Amino acid sequence: MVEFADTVSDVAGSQDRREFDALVQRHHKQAYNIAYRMAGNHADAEDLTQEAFIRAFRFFGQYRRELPFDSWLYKIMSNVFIDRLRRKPKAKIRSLDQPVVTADGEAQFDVADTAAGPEECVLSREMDSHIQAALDTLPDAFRLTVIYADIEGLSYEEIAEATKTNIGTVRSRLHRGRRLLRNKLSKYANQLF
Amino acid sequence: MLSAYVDGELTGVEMLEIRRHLSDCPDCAHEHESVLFTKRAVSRLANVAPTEDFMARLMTSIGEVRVPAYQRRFNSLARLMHRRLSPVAAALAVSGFAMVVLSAGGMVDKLGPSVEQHNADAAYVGARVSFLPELHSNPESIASASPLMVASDATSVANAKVELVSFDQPR
Repeated sequence: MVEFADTVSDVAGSQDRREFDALVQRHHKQAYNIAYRMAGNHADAEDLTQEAFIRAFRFFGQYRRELPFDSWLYKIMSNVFIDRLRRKPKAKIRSLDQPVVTADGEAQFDVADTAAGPEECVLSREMDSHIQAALDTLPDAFRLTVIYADIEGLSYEEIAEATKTNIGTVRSRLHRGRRLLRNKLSKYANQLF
Repeated sequence: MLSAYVDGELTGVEMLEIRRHLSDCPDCAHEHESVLFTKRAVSRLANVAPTEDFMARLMTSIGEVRVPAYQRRFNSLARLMHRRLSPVAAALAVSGFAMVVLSAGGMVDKLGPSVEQHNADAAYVGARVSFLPELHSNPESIASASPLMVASDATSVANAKVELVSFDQPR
């Protein structure tokens, strides 16, 4: 009987793996983008994304299929971010005036192609690096809340669920996070808009 | 309040009140502009793509994950539950796991102390039954509680029992 149970779970396991692979394929870029904005560099973004998907795979049986996968992934990513980033809190904070250095030693971010011309593209990349540097200075919980709200477009209720907190805290973190960001970015106001 | 206003997270009445106030108060109007500026600055960030080979490396590392047998059985059972199987299939699953439970119990006499230890583990897990339904309703807390999930095969049986009991209860 135990062997039968093992066989059943093996079959279910291979079905899980196929289903999970399809979800990885669909969601890994979105997860990577969030991880990059949280970490500020490619090496940590890869680690965070990998850790989140491995954790999701281990507990995939507990994922309720009637809910969107990304909602479940947001919760796991929140835990992974807080666990991992807490271990090295201040290492990647840098001044806005310093050139941006990636894990590969390059000065520019790897961003998706846009319809803008080459000059606009360079300016846009430069501005992205300033905004990322400002994001890096925020406390982890504030940064995650701002990313979920302004990059992922989640509602306060969804953010509260993903970060295991209440709507009042989400509102407060956003307000304080944006205020800190504004102070860092005010000198670029003319270039931004 | 202005952050929530910019995000459209207030009631209709509150939104109207703030809109009216902003037209009369230059200080608040300025603050509103700065909140909008910050939100737009973050929203305009380009998506950052991983390297070409990242997904392949990700798949490889997922393939190397060894999910313990008890976890796989628990996952497959939870999977069945989540998909809301027909009553017949659910009854079969219930009876199948009940037989596993019974046979695991029956093996104690035949296999001696090592299996008794497994049963002791199961009893230990039984003592934690009260927190398992809570974890089930919030799957992510299971992920964060992974150290607690280290257990023997007998533990999976105990977990299965908990799930089977909850299956028939209103959710």
